[in-house]
Amino acid sequence: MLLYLVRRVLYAIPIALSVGLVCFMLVQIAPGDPINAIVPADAPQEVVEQVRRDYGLDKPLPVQFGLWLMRVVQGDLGRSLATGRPVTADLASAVGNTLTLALVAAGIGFVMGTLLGTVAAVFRGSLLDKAAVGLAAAGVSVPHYWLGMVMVVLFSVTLNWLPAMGAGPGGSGAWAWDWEHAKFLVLPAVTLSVIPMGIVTRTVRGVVMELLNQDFVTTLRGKGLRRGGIALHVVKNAAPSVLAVMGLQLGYLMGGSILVETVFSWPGTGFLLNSAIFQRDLPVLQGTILVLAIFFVALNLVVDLVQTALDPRIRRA
Amino acid sequence: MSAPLVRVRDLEVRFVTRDATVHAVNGVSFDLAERESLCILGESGSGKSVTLRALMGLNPPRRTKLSGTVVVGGHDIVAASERRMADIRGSTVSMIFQEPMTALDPVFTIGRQIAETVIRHEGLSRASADARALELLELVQIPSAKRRLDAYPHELSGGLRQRAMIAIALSCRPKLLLADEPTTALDATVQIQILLLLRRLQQEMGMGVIFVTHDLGVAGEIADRVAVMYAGRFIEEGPVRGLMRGPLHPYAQGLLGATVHSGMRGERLTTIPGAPPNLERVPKGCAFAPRCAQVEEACLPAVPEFRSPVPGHAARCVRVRHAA
Amino acid sequence: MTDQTSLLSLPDVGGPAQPLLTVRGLTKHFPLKTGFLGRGAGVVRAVDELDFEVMKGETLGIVGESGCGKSTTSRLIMALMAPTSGEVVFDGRQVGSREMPLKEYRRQVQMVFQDSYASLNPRLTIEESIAFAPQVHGLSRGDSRARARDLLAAVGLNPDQFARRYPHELSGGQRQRINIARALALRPRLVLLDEPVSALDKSVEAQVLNLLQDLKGQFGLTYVFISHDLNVVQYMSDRVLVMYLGRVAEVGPVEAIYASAAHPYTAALLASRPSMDPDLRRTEPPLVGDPPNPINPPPGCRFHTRCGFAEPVCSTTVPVLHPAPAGQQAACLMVVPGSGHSRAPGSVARGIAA
Repeated sequence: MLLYLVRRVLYAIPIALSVGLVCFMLVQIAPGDPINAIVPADAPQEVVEQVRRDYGLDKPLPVQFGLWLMRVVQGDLGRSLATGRPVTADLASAVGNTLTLALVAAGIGFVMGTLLGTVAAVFRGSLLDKAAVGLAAAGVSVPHYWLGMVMVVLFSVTLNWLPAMGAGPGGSGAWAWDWEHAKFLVLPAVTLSVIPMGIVTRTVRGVVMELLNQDFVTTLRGKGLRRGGIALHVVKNAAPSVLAVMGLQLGYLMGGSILVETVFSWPGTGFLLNSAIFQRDLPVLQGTILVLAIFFVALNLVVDLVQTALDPRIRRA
Repeated sequence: MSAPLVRVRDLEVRFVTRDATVHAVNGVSFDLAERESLCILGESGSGKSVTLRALMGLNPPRRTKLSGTVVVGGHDIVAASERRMADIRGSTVSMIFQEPMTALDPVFTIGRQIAETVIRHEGLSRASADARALELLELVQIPSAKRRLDAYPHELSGGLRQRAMIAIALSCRPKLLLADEPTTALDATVQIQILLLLRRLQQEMGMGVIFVTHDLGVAGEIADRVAVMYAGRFIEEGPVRGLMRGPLHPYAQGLLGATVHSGMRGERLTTIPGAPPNLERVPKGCAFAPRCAQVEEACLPAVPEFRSPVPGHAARCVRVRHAA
Repeated sequence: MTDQTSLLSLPDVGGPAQPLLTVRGLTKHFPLKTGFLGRGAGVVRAVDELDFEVMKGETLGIVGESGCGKSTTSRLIMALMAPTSGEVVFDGRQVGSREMPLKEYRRQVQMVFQDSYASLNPRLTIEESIAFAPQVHGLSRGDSRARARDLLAAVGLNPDQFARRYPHELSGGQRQRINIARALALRPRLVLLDEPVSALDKSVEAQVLNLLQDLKGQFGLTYVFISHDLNVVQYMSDRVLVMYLGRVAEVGPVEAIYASAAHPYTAALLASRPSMDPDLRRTEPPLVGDPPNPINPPPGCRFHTRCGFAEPVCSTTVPVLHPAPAGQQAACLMVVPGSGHSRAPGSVARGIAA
């Protein structure tokens, strides 16, 4: 098992490196000379050359990549073109906020999805099942931003129960777990939880339904186990595939909340990305994408490891 | 004489879905004495597995409709609540299945799957349940039993998996063991080992056994009595010797004639024309009449009653004469 | 322009004395990938150095338990996978060579599988399924359909009643008849029957076995009949090949093998058949344990780990096929004179015992 763990982690390194390469190339592929983004357009030629040397932009691409990688590993993602602040600082608070939002949304979505899916599978074909399936389908198909705006209109504008935008007092870097802040989290988190809820419902329903039809469940009944005893077996059998889907969904939540964060002005990575795109702020864009991608790789690694730990049939050599 | 271990009267099982009702079992009656072994022979769709599962209420709940009397070890199975049934299953009566690979939980160890049955019914501690699991693996002759306790089903060969399945079934010393084609999925040299093991365990533990099989050889090796099933009914029942040597019912005769055994080379095999009836409707008369070469008027109006030319051996056929 | 007469019947090339199928040194190893960088952790020796012949017009039965290499053998014969080494020769011409290209070979050899449903395209009618191959090989649409209807009649299904049906509308026995008809559609000379009746009920099994016997005479076929059911193999075969862990244990005329098996594995296999007569019940199982895994099989005779007659020599010497008294050939040191086994013919130990 330890050997397997080491091997999986080693496998993840080339993936992370290629992700880094893609992010690095982003700047190279972007139209125009990156130098133009740094120096003023009317700077004299010798200043441009000086800056080019300072930034190492006169060196061949592989060397540039190496230098960039060294800086990244040390936590230096450069400075924002728009604000001049270090990217790492802005990114840190944005990642924190997105993580808060994603974890809460995932929590709501996974708990609801598991409940709905299990109920649907156990009472297969009943009205409860149909309701759960319908809810899941709606969750997956309703557009995020639309749902977000409807929620805002309903709960903020009409009922005036919850705030419509922002992350609470103190702005983006001042999140705290109290109601003054948490009430800002409710609408975006619920909006964001709808897709994972739908997908987890479908997965759990499918997996549990298939398991309940397995011969071994008949054996368990034949041994005299009651519902609780049988449920234990079903949970352990279902866990690997359900957790895999949950892991992926969490990954999507981390990266895919641009629209929802924009609708609710939630100061997370999506919001940051959105403004970076509009301001052509390449260092911010580069840094954000890199961090999100590394998150995704790491998450996949964790899912893989958990799955292997839970399922004895996967070879652990 | 004391009450039989199993008493079944007029058992009927129907599966009801939105589209159709399937009459899987249509009036089965029999008794099984303690320590006796009965083999139910039949082809696919004859209702043999459904009958077996009805003995411990294992047919799919909700869409199964059961009627008649089923008493096992003094417990009324038809009337028992699901909760009551759970207490009976695994302790008074237990079951082994055809495919041990799918009948065992793939993500629990063999030891755990045995121990949980013991814990459930006898309330043993985890440690003593594990000790019992080890004894049971030794009882079913699994080599290096101690190591096998921690094995997962996929790590065992087919024969060892079926032995583990038997260990689970026997873990609470049931009075009745039900076996649904337990050797069909196994290799020839393993099949005979499992059959002999079951025969030995039945004698040692004094269990009643009901086997369901399509294989006449299995019946020949293990049964005291044989019942032949067709279209949801027993059509012949008798001691294994009498039935194997002189089947009375034309279907049983056809089945024995169609079974290839040694010394038939060069002969043409006897076959039964046609196919079994669709059980969405219960046939009114003898269900075999449409395929029977000796069919006559008397076969059609009603299901023939059992007729018994020799004591203990009977068939539902109008051509069989009652003993004087 | 396709030569249509060639789709009517295939000529005999080498005459009756030449085997229709010759298998020489056929070997298939599957490397196992595990290890850190996929280093080989072992090899599944599915089939090892297989030699046998199938004569024209005979039925060769192949028996053995799981892991013995039956299925791999059938796939190798069908050229569905490439052998690690060895060759298959069809009527004197090496398969895959210029004289017997694969396309031509696949017309001459057809296969019927155990799973009657999975081997039929569910979207094609019965008639279309049977007519498909002839059409691909250049027969006109009308001729192909006519041939399909003829074949339906030949396998005992009324063409007017069945031609337009789909596989799911048929019973298992009827579908297996369709598979047989489809296999015959290209007028093959060799038909490989891989557990053709194992999924069927006894009464249907008998019907299909009778049908196979009839068709063999009617179409002049040669069969390779693979089964785990020793009684069925005995009923169907002229000669029998017993396989154990990828090797031939014994091969010879059916009477010789069933009456006086020379290889202890064959004897054990035969003695494992349950008896229908309750007075002949077995008391002891002939073998203990399961057939071993073909990954890294035991050295020497592969059966020596389970054999009651095993001696030290058996774990060092690989037995080759050798003539046995009843007319068959067995790969057992006990039939090889001077092999070093105490029961070998002419050995000192035996001489004293006699």
